[in-house]
Amino acid sequence: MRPWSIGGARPRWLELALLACPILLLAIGLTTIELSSGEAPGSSDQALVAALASALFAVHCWLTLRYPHADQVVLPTASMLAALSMVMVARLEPSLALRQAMWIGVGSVALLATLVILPSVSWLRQYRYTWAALGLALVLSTFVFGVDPNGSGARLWLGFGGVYFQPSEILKILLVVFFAAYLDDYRELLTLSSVRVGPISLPPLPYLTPLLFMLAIALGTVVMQRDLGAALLLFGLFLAMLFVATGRVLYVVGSLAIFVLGADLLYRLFSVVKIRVETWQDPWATASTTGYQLVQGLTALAAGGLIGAGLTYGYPTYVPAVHTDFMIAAIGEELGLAGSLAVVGLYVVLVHRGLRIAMVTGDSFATLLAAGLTSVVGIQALVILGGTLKLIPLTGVTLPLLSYGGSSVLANYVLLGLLLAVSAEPRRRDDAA
Amino acid sequence: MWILARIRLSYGSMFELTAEAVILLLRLALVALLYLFLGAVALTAARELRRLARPDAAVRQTVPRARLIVVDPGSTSLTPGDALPLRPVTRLGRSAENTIVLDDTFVSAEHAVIVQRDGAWWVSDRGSTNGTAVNERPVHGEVGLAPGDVVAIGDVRLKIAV
Repeated sequence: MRPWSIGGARPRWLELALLACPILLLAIGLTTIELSSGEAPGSSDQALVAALASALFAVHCWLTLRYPHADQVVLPTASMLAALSMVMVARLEPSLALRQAMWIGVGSVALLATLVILPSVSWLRQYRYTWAALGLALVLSTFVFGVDPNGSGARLWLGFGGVYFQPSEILKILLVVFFAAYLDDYRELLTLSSVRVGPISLPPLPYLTPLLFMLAIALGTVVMQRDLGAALLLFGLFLAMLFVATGRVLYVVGSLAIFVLGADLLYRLFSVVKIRVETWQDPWATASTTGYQLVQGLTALAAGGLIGAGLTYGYPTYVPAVHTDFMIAAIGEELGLAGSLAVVGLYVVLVHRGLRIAMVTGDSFATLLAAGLTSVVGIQALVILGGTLKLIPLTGVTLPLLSYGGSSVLANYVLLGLLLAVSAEPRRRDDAA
Repeated sequence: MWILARIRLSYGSMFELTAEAVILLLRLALVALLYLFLGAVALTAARELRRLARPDAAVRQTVPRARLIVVDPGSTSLTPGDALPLRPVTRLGRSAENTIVLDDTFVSAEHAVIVQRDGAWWVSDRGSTNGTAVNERPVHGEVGLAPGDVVAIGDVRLKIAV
């Protein structure tokens, strides 16, 4: 026990200081929007800022009391993205601003609930097949009960009582837990043993089968539903976790080969894939139809320049889905390259902290879990940022923590809760010992 | 941008100038705040790295140096009484990549690892064929070590000494 610890609690000064930034960001952003629309800052803005401040303070207090050793940068960084998200949604779709604020509030509660309910990180490990089954059940249920409230052409949502929920957002977390538990169980077998076929040594396929089976079902369902972004994310996640668990380059090379074959197959089978690739190669050829979104996004980014037009001074609302998947186009137009690079910087910070948590934790399951959760955020950001910037074919996924959307916000906060729980774990075990 | 505000001054009303100037300031403040935050985080990360880069200082403060004293060398070339210093992470096994190489027949290539965390030493088996034991009790998961404990790896017996 250190002399300044009171009942296990320990001040988290760094977190407290850093948390001032998102609150200030929200205040500045909302004030800018109000001023430039010619109105005086309203009381609803103050209420929003106060709500964010109290939510963050509540989470901070709980962490200080119960998880004093948890990482101190994760929450402020995620909150910067959340505050920016509230500002951008208020600017782009003012009618949704309150809903987004509410979702972030619900997300904070979910984060706390994850920390409170979770008895220990290894508890997740015990129920590995439950998580796998739950994830599949959720995704399969969209086949039966799936609805399409946005008219996007894919029935990816489940609805109850006017609230729509996208199961693939939760699926990614459940899959991380399952992969982490399974890979941790069979890590040595997968790393050391191999089946020799002539001069080539192959990985021990029998032990990989359940993993591949799970991946195939998950990928199959999301692909059948034309949720290509989710498919790309899940595959990237699988690859990252397999490599973290085994450190074998063979797996990565093999999986990439499978990826190329699979992508080619999808290209032949689904017209939507073909359209996406063609649009990526030359969006201007179809600038008024399939390439419209991409062209508008690129135009918005170009219009922003180095420091941007300033909040409310651009025209990002011409971009379809700008408040969800194409959020970075609006940020690029109104906050400029400076603002969008800062957003990339925030994701880099999140990934850095996540991998750091994975490295310092003492438990191999926790390492895989943290690395997997971090990969989800990193890959998802890469997939949609790359898609928006025309670096890779565009596939629709949300920009983690930034896009408007209840399921996405909620899932990402649960993810952060798990990450914080992992970062608190090794210390907690030592304190108990 | 400042020039724009000036031009506004000559044409527009006083209120317009202040509103424009305030908005401009807020715009810059918004982006500046993002970088301020990133800067603060980067400084933190740098400080953590620097702390990690000087493990000796931290180790000396929190834990006294520990050693492994050879009790029974088994079929290795060690002699009883040899002192092997413990590192923050000490890997034991038969392959040359280990921190302490034990070329005993019953020692696996990567046999066990002893790590130092928060002032204590922990041993865990790395999936060895013949297992690791502390005071003749087999090691499952991670086992804390106290001075005087005897770690058995193959036929080799090593005692923790501070």
